[in-house]
Amino acid sequence: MATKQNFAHGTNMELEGVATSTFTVDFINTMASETSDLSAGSATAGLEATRAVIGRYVNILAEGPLADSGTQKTYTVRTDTLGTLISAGTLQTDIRALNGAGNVTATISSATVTATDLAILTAAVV
Amino acid sequence: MPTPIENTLAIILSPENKMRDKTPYVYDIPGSNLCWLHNCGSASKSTLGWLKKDHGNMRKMTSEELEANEKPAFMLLQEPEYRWWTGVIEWASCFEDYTWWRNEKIMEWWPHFDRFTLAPWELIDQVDVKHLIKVGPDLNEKMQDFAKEHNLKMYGDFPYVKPRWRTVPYITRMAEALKPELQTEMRRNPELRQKLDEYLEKDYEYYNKAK
Repeated sequence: MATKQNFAHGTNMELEGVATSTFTVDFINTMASETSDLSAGSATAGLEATRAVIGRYVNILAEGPLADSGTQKTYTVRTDTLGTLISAGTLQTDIRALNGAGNVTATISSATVTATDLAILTAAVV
Repeated sequence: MPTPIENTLAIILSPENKMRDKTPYVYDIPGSNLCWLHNCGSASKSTLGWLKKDHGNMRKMTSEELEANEKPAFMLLQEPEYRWWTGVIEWASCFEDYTWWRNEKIMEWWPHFDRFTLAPWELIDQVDVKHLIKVGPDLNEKMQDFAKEHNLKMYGDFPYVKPRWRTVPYITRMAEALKPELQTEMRRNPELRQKLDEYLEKDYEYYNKAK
């Protein structure tokens, strides 16, 4: 006879069909002007360059707007391809390495990448 | 296919990598006679937050602007060794549990690995810094006084932004594990301790002059 399992409310989950992970990139400095075309070799293509760096390793499913005076951006990616790219520092070092490499004018040599769960406080909605 | 940590090492050790660059980041403060010399690990996020909030269009000077700049700079200084440790924690956040201090190529750089572990004196020596401010528990009052004295805007308190290693649990855990490991390594290999002391010596000279 089938028995009912102990109920446990699933929280902190996604329902899209693939497990997702979220992380926030803190560029430290404003990226508001870094909106040019990377393929044109622009020196202010920081946001496209960052997207390209992340996309080199993992599919980006969603990304939020620039927040905190243009200094931070949150990305959602597929968990199955993310692996230890954050904890092993790959995304962080690769984004920092964009500094001075020609496509970013803003200073991002101390950018950080921090894994987060999806929880946006009412006081912090954007 | 390389693992994430192999990718990280390849990026860090790449000759194109400019993480150890020593260019000073100087921010012009519009409408004031001062500029700010950025110093990672010395309330830099708090200072940046304050200046961005109350001085709007503040931006980093280009190398040409920096050369032509005549405004004196102010800079905040954390206690040098404490600052280096917070810097090395941030540096270590690139490696998960990889024992980077056993990597000979990386250790050739000891004790300066990146922007976070770059000693402030290396920046001060390149910029006309007139005001050195010690970071401590009284920083809010000190910065309010400094703002008044130099006609800088400060609406309300000086913001306090906690460092990432004190707010993100997995980095806090890494930091707590790292410090004793690295201290043991420094006891085993006194040359590391000596190099660090030598590197920070000049920082203490500046720190002792700071108000």
